[in-house]
Amino acid sequence: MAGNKIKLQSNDGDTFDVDVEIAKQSATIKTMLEDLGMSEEDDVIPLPNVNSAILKKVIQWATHHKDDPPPPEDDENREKNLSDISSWDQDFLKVDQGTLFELILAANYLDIKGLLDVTCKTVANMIKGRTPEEIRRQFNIKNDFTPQEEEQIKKENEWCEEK
Amino acid sequence: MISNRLTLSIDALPVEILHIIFDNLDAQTIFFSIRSLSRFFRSVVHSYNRYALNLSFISKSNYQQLCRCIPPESIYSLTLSNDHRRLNQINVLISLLNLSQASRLHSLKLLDISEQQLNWILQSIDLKILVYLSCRLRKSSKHCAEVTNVPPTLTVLQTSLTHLEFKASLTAMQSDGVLSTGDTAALIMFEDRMRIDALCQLVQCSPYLCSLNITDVPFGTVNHARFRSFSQLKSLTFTDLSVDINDLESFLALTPALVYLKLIGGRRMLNGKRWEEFIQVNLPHLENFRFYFREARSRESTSQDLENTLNLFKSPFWTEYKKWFVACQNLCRYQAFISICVYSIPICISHVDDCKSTLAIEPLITSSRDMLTMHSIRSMALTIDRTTVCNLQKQSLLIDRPLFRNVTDIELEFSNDESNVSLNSLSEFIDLSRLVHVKISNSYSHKITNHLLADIKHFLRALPNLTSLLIHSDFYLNKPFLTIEEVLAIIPSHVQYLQIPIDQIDQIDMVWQTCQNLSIIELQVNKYTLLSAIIKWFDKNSVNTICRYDRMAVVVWLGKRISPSSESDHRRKRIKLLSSSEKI
Repeated sequence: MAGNKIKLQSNDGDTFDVDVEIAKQSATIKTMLEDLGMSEEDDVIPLPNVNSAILKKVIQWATHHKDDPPPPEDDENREKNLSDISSWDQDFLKVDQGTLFELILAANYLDIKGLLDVTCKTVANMIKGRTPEEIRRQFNIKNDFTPQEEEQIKKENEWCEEK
Repeated sequence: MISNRLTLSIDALPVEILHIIFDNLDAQTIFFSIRSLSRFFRSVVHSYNRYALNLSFISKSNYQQLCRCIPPESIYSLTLSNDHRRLNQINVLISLLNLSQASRLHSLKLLDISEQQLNWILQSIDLKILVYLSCRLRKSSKHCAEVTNVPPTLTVLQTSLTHLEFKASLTAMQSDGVLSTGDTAALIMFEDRMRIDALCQLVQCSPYLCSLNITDVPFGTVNHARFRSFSQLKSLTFTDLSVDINDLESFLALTPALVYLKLIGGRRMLNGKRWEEFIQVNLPHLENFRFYFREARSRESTSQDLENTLNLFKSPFWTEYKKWFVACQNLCRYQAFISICVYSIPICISHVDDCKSTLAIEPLITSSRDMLTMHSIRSMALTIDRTTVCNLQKQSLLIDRPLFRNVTDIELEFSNDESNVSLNSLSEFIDLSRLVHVKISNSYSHKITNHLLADIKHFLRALPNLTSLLIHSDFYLNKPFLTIEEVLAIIPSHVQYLQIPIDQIDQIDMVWQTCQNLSIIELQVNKYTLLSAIIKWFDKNSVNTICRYDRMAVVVWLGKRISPSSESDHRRKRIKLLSSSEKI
């Protein structure tokens, strides 16, 4: 083992030396190393779904959180508390929407629960308290309802009220 | 392929990712806002089946819509509350939602529920799929039946529960058979006192009960011949002890496997040497010992006496073997005695109502600055004056800011010398993003200066998660301390629960126009005639509203506002008035 480091390769060919323990925050990489018998010394682990810029951000996040306790498996009584994003994570995630969504996809592919949680919470924060029109503007979503469909949704809501 | 996307948009995310984002949103936002965005999002919402439905702060119209439109089988977590809104919201749910179809319900939280409602709900749902169940039964009162027992459904079921909270008044409880057959790793919480034999019987009959949270050591003497050891108990919490050390030790002798012990209150608890010996003999596995003891001492007590008390908690057993650290404070000085407290650090109490004295003196041990951070404090009452602000600033300098990171409830009381106090400094020791409930009061009923009013406004607008705002007034000289114009100027628009004083009926209209997101409003008045006028106003100007008198206030669960033009369409749906004597 070369100083407990492994090489991670992005889909655009860049290679990153990463501490094994940091890389193992990714359950995907952990599985590759432990279950599939990939060795840490000579193999380069290809990550075909992550580009260089995003992989660099993911490694930066994982390095900062390397000493965090493992996240709970499943919080049965999950509260909708959107404020529990650390100030470091808030600063880290001050990125454009495209980068934020790519980080979400990377966290999902690499199976990094902590990163997936915090990125999804960040998107949820961007939605919370906004009207549909404001959300459309925020995320550039096209309203493709026909007037009849819009009327239908409105009626559905009114139907509920009148019952 | 991620790399092939030039700029990703939100609707390019896979549905399962969007559903994870929804997991962080309330049901109203998902159902009313996201569903209305586009055909794609309507479809994504349609396939979502993990709604966390919290119906605590929600308007009656939206409440009914959600209950009728969200399929019960898509509800993952359900929080129902009668709470202090006194509006029997749970009855509305019972009439609208078919809980027997809630086939994915994992978590159920019931707050201030009546025994009758609880039994109905527990009989309606499939308890075998529940993993988390929390019940806080309404305290006995003349308006509701007294709770007499744990619901029969809970005493016999084979559950998958990993967490059970049962918080109730159980003075007449029969404990036989409680949790006797389930494999529940349960937490049971009792608020009121019961006989010691009943508690021992309950624990003995619950072989999988690993955590117990109870107010106090029950009355009576432990029968050590009948009850020898509760080795299943790993965690024990007493939240408001009144017994002395002898009674407490008598019970703790039955719990040799404890790993976690938390004690708040009690008498004659300040002998660290005695604790050391007791733990070594009776609680050999104890890893986490948290406590907050208060005691009165004579005024003649010197700082040396306090130091001697503290030294008994500083032996190698405490600081090296167990690594438990203790602080001591002189809280209050009265004519005949002083009040001191000795507590483990980090501090373990959840409420501070005496901030001025609690924060006045620096803890004696500062081995770890982070340990002094008051993570456990969830609610606090602050008298806003120069002394408090000065003390808080001093404390904040000791540790990384903010000192209070998890406070959700705060009560701010303004005193006579508030003229030079700024609320800006609150953000230095409280994480404002966590605040959910704020109460503002002014017991002196003097007018608030314009400078302070601007300060309050700025403070409230800086609270992104503020849900409820209570502006309490004693109507000194028949006038509230804030005029309606001043109240409206400071209320953030996203507040859902509002308590305010009014002295004119037309002020209701002004408030409702300003606060579009209100779900419940409690209007305090100073004249009886206003009570009926309020009811009449809502009858004329809203549909589907529920009102309830509560002494010199009317609590209103808001329905839909109607404009004069549409009034005829809604004439058939008027308000419902719950009388104060109405039973559930």
